[in-house]
Amino acid sequence: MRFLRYISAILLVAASSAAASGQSLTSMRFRPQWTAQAQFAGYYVAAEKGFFKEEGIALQIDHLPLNSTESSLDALLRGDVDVISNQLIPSIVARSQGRKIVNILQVSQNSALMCVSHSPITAPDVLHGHRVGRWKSGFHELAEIFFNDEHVEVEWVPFIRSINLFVSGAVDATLCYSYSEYFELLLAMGEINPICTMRFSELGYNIPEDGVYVTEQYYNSHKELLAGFARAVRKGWDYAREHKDEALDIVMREIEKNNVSSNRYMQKLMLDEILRLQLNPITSEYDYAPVDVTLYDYLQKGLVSNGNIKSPVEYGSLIKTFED
Amino acid sequence: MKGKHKRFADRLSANVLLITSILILVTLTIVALQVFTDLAEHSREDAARDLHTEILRMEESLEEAEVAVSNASWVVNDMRKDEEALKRITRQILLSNPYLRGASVSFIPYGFDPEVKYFAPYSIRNEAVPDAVFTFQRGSVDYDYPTMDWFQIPQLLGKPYWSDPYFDENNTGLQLVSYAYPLKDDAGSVYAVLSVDVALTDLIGLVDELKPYPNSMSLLVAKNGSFIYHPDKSRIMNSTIFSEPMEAGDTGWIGIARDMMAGKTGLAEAEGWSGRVLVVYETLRNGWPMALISPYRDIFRDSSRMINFLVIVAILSLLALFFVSRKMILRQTQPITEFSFAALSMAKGNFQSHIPEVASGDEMQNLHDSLEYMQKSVSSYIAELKATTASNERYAGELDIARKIQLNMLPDFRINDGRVGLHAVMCPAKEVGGDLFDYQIRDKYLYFLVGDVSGKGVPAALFMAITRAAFRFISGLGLDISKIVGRVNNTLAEGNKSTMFVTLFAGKLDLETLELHFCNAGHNPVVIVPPGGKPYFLKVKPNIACGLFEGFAYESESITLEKGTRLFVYTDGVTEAEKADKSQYGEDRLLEWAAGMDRYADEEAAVEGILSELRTFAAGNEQNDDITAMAITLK
Repeated sequence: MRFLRYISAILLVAASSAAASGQSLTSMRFRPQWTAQAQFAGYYVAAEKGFFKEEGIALQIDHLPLNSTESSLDALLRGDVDVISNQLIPSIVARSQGRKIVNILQVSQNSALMCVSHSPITAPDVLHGHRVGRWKSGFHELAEIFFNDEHVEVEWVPFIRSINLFVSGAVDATLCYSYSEYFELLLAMGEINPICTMRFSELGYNIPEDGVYVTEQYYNSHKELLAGFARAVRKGWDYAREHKDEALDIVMREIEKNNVSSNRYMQKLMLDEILRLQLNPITSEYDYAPVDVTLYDYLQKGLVSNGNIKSPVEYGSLIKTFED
Repeated sequence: MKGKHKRFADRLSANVLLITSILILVTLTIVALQVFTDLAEHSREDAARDLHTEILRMEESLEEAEVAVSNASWVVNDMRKDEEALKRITRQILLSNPYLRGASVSFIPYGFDPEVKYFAPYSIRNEAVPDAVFTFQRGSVDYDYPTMDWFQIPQLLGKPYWSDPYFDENNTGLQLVSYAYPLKDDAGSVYAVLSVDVALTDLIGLVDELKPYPNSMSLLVAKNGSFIYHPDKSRIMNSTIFSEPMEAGDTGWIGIARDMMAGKTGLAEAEGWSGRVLVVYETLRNGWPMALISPYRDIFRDSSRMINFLVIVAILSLLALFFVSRKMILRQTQPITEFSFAALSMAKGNFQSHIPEVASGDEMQNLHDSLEYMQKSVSSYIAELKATTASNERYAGELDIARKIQLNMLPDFRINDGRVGLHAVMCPAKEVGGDLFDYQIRDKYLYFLVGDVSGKGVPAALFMAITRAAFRFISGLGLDISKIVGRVNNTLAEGNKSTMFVTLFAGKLDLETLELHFCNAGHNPVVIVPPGGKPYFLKVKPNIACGLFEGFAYESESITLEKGTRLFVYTDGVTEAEKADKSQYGEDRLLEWAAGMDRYADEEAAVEGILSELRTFAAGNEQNDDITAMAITLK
């Protein structure tokens, strides 16, 4: 009798722990919108530090192939991944096209979009008729809106991912992000004269960028899980801000794992800038606040007049928050 | 002494050592600077030449690809509508050029067939099978070549383009650089890009071997700053020429990098991992900068060794110089020690001490001769001094005897019978004096005399002796006092070639009648103290001092005194006794003193009293004249 009781006790413990481990971790596949780099440090840190595990998530980070031409959004809609990092504007455009995605966390609070030119940009119309490089996969809507407002027509030259186009002189100017291509340009040329640069955040077009997106369907069925996901991501970014060196180590490991060519110095520059862009300009805090409603409405008008969307996308339909 | 001598030699040789060291140091420094400057100059020229040679070699390799492409370009142009021909061309390029990894003719979207976006026949080698080439269409959604650098840049620039290195993961799995040549139609628009691929490893194969110095290294940089070649393979394609200097804030290297990226040819110095390095740089024809870095430590190694060797030799020589010169100086200056011994010995009184012989004819010789002369002259001077001292002592001894004789000439007995009391004392200023006194009682007369010879010392004493002897003899003849003095005068004046004279007061007192007969010869007036009355100076005829005029007629006088009268006879040593301020005792004070003569118990006390008075008055001032004091009391 005693023997039986012992056996059953052991079996019960084993079963419940198996059940616990099996039930408590939900697997999620995450795809950042670009290759492995410090731009996504918070996610790597959260994964490494077990913040996702704490929220019951077994996260799998799956990067874009290096020369891939499709976006993370395509993979999300296809169902290859559950959650992605994506920019606000392409997401609005996608939503307006009927792709039912929602934003569950706004990580970037400022625009990092820049234009770097070979000659000084004394006024926007200096670029009229010039060749301006842009990413093939888009991300230039804001610049288009800006140039339209300024009545400047440029010849867009799409590139995949490198700055050689600009350095070689094949284009007169190029779009770039202040946390990535800008530093690549700096490290390639040795110096960039500030007078040859233009930051959209300083020209009244300070539209936030990176955020976390899921399909509406997934959102509706995994609200609690996603709340946990958002919590873990915030925690990951907060940790990265407090422990920059450790975060850099984690990023470098991810880079090596994914065979990306870069170096620690470049990643350090990127991490510092990414973190800087997470400071909310309205509240002056790192609060990962959803995009400001007024700014959002202003953006809708621009996108409509630029022809990116037919009609404004309702705020609440895209931007989701959690009560916690 | 020996110790001091040694230190002199040490000091001198140390000074020699110091000066020599400075000279050698300066010389070595100049030589070293010259050597290193020349060496630096040559090394720069050599390095620049080595780099240039290497660049020419690299450009040859690049030229192979360029020539292959330009040779094929006209054929491609002719065959641009023929798909099979184009494929064949790409194969042929590879087969003719083992150096190349891939070849392709890539058309702009819809450029070959308006229905087909991608048209890019492409051949690569089959590594497994030599001379086997794969040919296929390269373009697809996954390989969207129109937006790739190697296509897009020459297309936009309209010029041939050597691409920056890239990792070809899709096809060869290698790090490649591509040479892309834009093909233009008759209108001048680019319709396709003819490109060939070169493996990075093939290109940089021999760069590693460019080592003019053991620790030299080279850098080959692409147009976008990333490394095509770096000794640290992990840096190739992962970082740019600016990455490390910017991270470290090294403005020296950043400057060099900027110059290189600007296509300049030149050289610079910078900080390397282990000291200063020489950097020479030049840009390849296709725009890739290349640098050759050599540590100065290597460049200067052989010369450094030589200089180190010279320094060691110099140090050893200087040490040898120090010890040898010290020894030589010691030997040369040995006589100085002996000279100083001799001098010390001389100072102690030994004038026979040996002075070492020196015959060098130099300053030592001078020192020796001076010392020898000094020894001789001091020796004879001392001998003279001894003789003089001895004769002085003899003289002093004789003077002492003369003093005794003189004092013996003076009566020293006291007269103190019931009729009269008398006491006299003579204090000479020097050993012997020129004052005299005498007294004797004969029958009922008291003869007394006080005299003062002009001058003092031995001459006066001799004159005094004659005077006293003459007075003694003449006063025994029973003559009148004036006659006595006259005869004494004649005795003195006779044959007196010197102008010496003697003043005197001679008295003959009748002890019964108390009548005093006296004769004054230029002497101080006698003090009379009547009993109960005031002292006064006895009025006398002065006459003249004795010894000057033979035959002078002296006149005598007389006075009757009463009982109890005191007389005080003296020489001018009393009245002319001087204080330090030259004020004299004087006659007034003498009278004052004489007024209190009766306080003295007897004549001896009185004489003592005046002497004591004078001593008190003089207050330590030296006695300038002989003092004689004679006190007489009539009882």
